[in-house]
Amino acid sequence: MKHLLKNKIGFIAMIGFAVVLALTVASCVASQKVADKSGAQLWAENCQRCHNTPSPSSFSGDQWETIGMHMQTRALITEQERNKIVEFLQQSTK
Amino acid sequence: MKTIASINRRQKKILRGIVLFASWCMVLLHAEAQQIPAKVDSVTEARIAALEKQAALHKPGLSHLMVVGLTTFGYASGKTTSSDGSAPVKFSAFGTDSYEFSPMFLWRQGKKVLLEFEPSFNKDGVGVNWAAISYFAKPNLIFRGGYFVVPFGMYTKKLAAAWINKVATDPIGLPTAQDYGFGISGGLPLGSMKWNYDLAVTNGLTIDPTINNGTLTNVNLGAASRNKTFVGRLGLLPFSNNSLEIGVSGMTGGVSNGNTTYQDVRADLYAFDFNFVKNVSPVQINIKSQYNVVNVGTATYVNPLDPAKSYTFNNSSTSGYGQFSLRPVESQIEFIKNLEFAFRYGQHNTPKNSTWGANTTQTDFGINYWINWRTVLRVTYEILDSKSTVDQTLFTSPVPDVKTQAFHIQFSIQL
Repeated sequence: MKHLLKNKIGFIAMIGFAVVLALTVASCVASQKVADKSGAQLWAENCQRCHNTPSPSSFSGDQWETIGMHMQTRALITEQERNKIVEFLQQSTK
Repeated sequence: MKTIASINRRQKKILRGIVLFASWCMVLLHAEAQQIPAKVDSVTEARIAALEKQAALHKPGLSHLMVVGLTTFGYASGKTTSSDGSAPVKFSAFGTDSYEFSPMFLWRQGKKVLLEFEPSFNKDGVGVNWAAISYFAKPNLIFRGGYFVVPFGMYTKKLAAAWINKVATDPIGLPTAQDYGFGISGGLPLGSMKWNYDLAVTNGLTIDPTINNGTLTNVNLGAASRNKTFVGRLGLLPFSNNSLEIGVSGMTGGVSNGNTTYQDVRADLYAFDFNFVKNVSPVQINIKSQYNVVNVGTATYVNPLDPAKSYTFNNSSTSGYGQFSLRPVESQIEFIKNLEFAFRYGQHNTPKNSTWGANTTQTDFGINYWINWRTVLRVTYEILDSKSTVDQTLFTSPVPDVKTQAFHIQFSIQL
């Protein structure tokens, strides 16, 4: 009985958390200053949080697309950031 | 004069007519030139066809497979001294503590699906670091399933790779690693700030009845887990320049896994992490930290000296580390610019009066030389100092304090 009650409370807490999370997610927007950041700036700021900033010449355009998705799952950058960083890395020649 | 004037008028008319006719002809010719492409010779035609064929061969597809990964190789030399008065034990070996070859396969299907698989060959043999599939459902919502790094703290998921780490070893006392499960994650803007979430349900932790001393192990797929574990981390980047990230993690679940002895025993884990990286001219400052708490409910365990007897203890552990590194990124001298100096201090306190109780400190001094952005050669000097807090009555002879000092040389590259 105690176990069931614990499970019920846990389930209700999870639903509540999911609702709060959904509402928070829906209301999340970037400020103009953040939205205006270039791919180069986001590349410099975000990559170095964990490792050295990668050289754009290390991978091909297709590879950067795949690595961008991988890094989104790892560093949890926003999709907008990922798209800008990948575009910068694909277009940079050095 | 009159005749001459009339001739001039006639000539003018004729001339005007000629000009108009010529203009009309030119317009017609131009229009024709626009409609009928210029003829090219057969050699050029063949060349164009060949180029078109080549271009068609290289068109980007929706599916893309690539291999990255890492390899690490190292040498460790040192000695272990014990408080029981026995002679120090010296050791030196290649690869003992740091050999790893882990190719990582990334397989993208369009822009929605990504498969990640990383087998690993190291001193323990061949294993799998992770094998997961991610579905990018919404701009900031990713569903993930498979075998992945549990979202608890920051180190294990983001900083553990040797080509990322700043010293040759991992911090002591990290309570979780990989597990099978399902989860959601994403990163979102919040005005000038940013936050991220990473939540999962996994097969979870259990007290292994064969070891029977209160330590937690992963259930993995070896047994049908009866108690799933809920785990998650929330991260906040409060500054618009992304220099600081703070995170809080929680993990909870039963640990019995069907074993009636531990039926009501639960494990509750918490972690706090901190990551600050900023270029402050002329150096780059890098500070990382994580603190973990592991609380396991009360249970009784079989006395290793007398199976008819049992014993119990307060099964709580804490661990944490702080790491500071500095790199002179603006130096004009290339050699100096590629250097990085690191210091890490860690502590791990396991339960007193258990068979594995100890207060251990870990101190590391390191110098890294970055050959390029993803290749590093490092040296690390590490001191591990462990004071036993076991229940000595559970052993036939006293468990001594142990101190290990080691010198590591390590090479690591991201492939």
